[in-house]
Amino acid sequence: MSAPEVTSVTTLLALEDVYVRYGGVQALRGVSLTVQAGEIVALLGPNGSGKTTTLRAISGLVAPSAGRITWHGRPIHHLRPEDVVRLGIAHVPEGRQIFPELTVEENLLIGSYSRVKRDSVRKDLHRFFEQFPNLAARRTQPGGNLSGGEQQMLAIARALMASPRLVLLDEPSMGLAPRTVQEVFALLGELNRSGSALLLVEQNARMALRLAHRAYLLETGRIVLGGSADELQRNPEVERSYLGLRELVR
Amino acid sequence: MQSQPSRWLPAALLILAAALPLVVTGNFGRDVLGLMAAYALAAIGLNLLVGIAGQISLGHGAFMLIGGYTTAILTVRLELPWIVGVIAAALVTVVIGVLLGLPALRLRGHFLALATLSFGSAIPQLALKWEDVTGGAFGLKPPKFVGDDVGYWVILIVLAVGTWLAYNVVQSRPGRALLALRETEVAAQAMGVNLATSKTGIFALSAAYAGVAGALATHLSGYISPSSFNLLVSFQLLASIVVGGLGSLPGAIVGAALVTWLPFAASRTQGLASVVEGGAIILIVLFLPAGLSSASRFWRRYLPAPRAEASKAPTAAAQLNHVMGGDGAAAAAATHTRSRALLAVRGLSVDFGGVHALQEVDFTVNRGAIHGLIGPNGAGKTTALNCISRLIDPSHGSIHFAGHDLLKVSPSAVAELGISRTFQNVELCKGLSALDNVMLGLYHVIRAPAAAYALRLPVARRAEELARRRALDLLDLLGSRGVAGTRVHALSFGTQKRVELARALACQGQLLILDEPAAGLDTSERVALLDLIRRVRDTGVTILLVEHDMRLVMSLCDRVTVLDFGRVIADGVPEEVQRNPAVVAAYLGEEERQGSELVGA
Repeated sequence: MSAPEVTSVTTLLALEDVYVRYGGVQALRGVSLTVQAGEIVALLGPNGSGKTTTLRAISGLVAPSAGRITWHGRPIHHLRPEDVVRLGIAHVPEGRQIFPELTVEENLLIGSYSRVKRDSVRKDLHRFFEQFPNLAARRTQPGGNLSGGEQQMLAIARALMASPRLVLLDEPSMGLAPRTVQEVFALLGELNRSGSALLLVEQNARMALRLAHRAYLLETGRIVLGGSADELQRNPEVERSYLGLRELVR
Repeated sequence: MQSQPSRWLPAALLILAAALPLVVTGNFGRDVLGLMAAYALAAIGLNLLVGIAGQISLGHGAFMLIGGYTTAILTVRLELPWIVGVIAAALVTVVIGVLLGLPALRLRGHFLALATLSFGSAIPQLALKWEDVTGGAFGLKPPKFVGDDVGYWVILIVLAVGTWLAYNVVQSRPGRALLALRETEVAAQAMGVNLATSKTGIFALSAAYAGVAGALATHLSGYISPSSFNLLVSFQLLASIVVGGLGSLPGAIVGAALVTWLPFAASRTQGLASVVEGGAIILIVLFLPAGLSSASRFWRRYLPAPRAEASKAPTAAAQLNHVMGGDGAAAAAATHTRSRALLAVRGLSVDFGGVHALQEVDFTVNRGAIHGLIGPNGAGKTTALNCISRLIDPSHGSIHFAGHDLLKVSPSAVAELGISRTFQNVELCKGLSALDNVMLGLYHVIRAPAAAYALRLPVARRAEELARRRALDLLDLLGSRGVAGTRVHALSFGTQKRVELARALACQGQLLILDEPAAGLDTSERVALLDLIRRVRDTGVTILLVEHDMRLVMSLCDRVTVLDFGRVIADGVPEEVQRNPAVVAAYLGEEERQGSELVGA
C-alpha cells in the first residue's frame, strides 16, 4: 500500500483560519489546511479535537463563525451542503450512515442524486459493481442486511457515485475487523490512484499514516503539527500519543 | 427529565387558578373553567402515555366516556354519591385500560394508532346501542355539583393531585423506565425494565386519568350522551399535548386549557369558529414546534440559574468495589456456585429467513475470566450476544448461565440474573441526562414499590437519593462526573461510551458483556478502557468482550473464541488463536498478524 507520487500541485481545498462554534463550545479555533489535487491527507487527533467538525465545515453542514474555506480558490463556506456536493466534494460520514431499508442499488443511486446525466450514472453503477463484487451480488438486498464491512464499502461507493474530486472520510475503519480495515484502506488507495483526492479522519493513525501523503495533527480545535506522513510517523510525540503501542501492551 | 421547579411556584399558580372564578363570572364562564381543568387532567394522563412513554393513543376520549357513564349510571340508577362514582370511574377505566393495553401495546406505531382509533370510535357506538343502561341517544342526567364554583374547585383539586402524582412518577424510577422505553426498548430491557408490565401499567394509569376527568366533567355539566366524548375529543386531547409540548406536564395543562377555551372564544366570530381555532393551533405548532412549554426558554434566561450541583471533591479514590456494590452479586455468586463455567453456550443456531447467522456455536465463559469473542463483521458475534440477552430467540441450542436456563427467561429477567451489557452502537437514552442513564442501570438494583414513588414516600425518596449518589460515583469512576447533568445527545461519542459503561457497571452483574467498547475511542481513551476492564475483572466480574482492536483483545483476554460465517473456527488462548492460519485468513489478515507479532516481540 505504498503511497503514489503526487503528480499535480493544484490546490483543491484550502481552509484559512477557520473558527466554528457549536452551541457554547468553540470546536475549531483557527484551522488552516490544504488538500492538493490527487493527494491523500490524514487528519489525526484525539476525540473532541475537532476532526469531524472540520469535515462538517467543509461540506457545509456547519457554518464557520470566522475564516475562509476555498475550492479552487473560490470561497465555498457560505454554500449549502447540496451545492458543495455539486462542486465535487463527497462526504462519507462516521458510522456508515447508509439507508438500511433501501437496496444496495438504491443506496448507490441516491449518491448520484446531484448528477444530471442519467446514462453516465448507469455506466458508473456497472463499473462499481465490477469493482465491488460483494455489493454486486447483493444489489437487490436492503443495505441494513449487509455486514459492517460491506456497509462501509457501500457508504464509500455511494460517495463515489457523485463522481467527486475530493472525498472526505470520517473514520472509515471504525468497528471493522482487522482484515476488512486492510481491504477498505486498499480500496482508498485505488480510489486515489484513479484520481480522487482524499481527506481522511482516522483513529487508526498507523494505517492512516501509511496510506497518506501528508497529515495534520489537530488538538482542541487547533492544528498543532503538519507535514509529510513520513515525518509524522517518525515524530516521537505522534508515536507516543497516536501510535501508542507500548502503553497498551504490558 | 424536567428541571426541579421551586416549591412555591406550583402553590402560587394553584391559588391563582382557584381565584379565577372571581374574574370569570356567569354560569357559562364557570363551566368553561371547570371543563378546562377536566380536560387538563385527561391531557396529563395522555401525556404520560404519549409524551413520556412514547406510545400513542387516538382513542382516549373513549376512556372519558367510560368514566362519565360509570359515574352517571351509579349516581342515577343506584343513587350513590358522586364521589363513589368518580372513584368507580377510575377503577373501571384502569381495568379496561389493562385489558386493552395488554394486546394493544404489542402493536407499535401505526398499528397501535389504528387499534386505539377503533376503540375510540367503537365505544360511543356501544353507548348509543346499549339503551337500557346508557339511555341511548338521550343520555343520562346525573346530579350536578352543588354550589356555583364547587365543581370547578373540586376538579382543580383533583387536577392538582393528579399533576403531583404524575410529576412524582416522571421524576423517579418508574418514570425513568418509561422514558427509557420511549428512547430505546432494547437498552431498557437489558436494564431489567419489563416491557409488558411497564407499557400496560402506564396505559392503565393514563386511562384512569381520562376516566376520572370524564366523570368530573359529567358532573360539571350534569349530562352525558354518546357524543359527549367522541373521537373529536380524542383528537382534541392529542392536540392539547402537542400544543403544550410533548412530555411536559405544565404544557399539558396549558395546552388543554387553550384547546378547550379556543372553541368558546372563537364561537363569537360567526361561522369562522373552526377556522380561528385551527389557525391558532397551526400558528403555535409552526412557531413553537416543541410546544408552548418551550416558550419558557425565552424567559428562563431572565430567571436566576438553578443552583449548581454541589460538587463534592471528586472521590478520586472511588473504590470500584464500593461503587459496584462489591458486597453484592459478584462476591455472593462466587461462593454460591463452585462450577468454573459461568456461561455455557451449546449448539446455538440462529436462522434469519434462510440465512444461517449462527450454526452450532459452542463456547464456555469461565468465572472470573475475560473471554474474547472475535470474528469478521457479520460473523454473528452480536447475534450471539443478543441470544444471551434474550433479544433474539435461537432456532435451537442452549444457553446456561450460573445454573439457569437462559432461554426460559424474559429479556428483562436476564438483568436480574446478573448479566449486564453495552451495545455496539451505544444504546443510551439520548434525550436524558448522563446521570439519569446511569440511574436506569440501577433499575433492578435499587428499588421501591411504584406506588411509593408516585406518593413520594420516604422509602422511595431514600432509594432515589441512594441511586443518585451511586450513579454519580460511577460517573466519577469513569471520569465523567462533569457531564452528569448533560443530555447524552450533546456528548461526544467517546463520552457516550463511558456513560454506557457506567450504566452497565451499575447493574452489578456477574457477567459484563462489552460489544466493541473501544470502537470510536482514541488512543488515550483505549488505554484507560484497558485499565478499567482489568480493574472490573479484579472485583470478581466475568467479562465477555467483542472487540476488533487486537491489541486490546490479545493483552486482555484469557481465552478467545473466533466466529466466521456463524461458525466457531477457533477457540483457545490468544497466542494460539493469533497464529491459527484460518483466523489469519478470515479475520486478522496478513498485516495484523505481522503487526501483532511485532508487538509481542
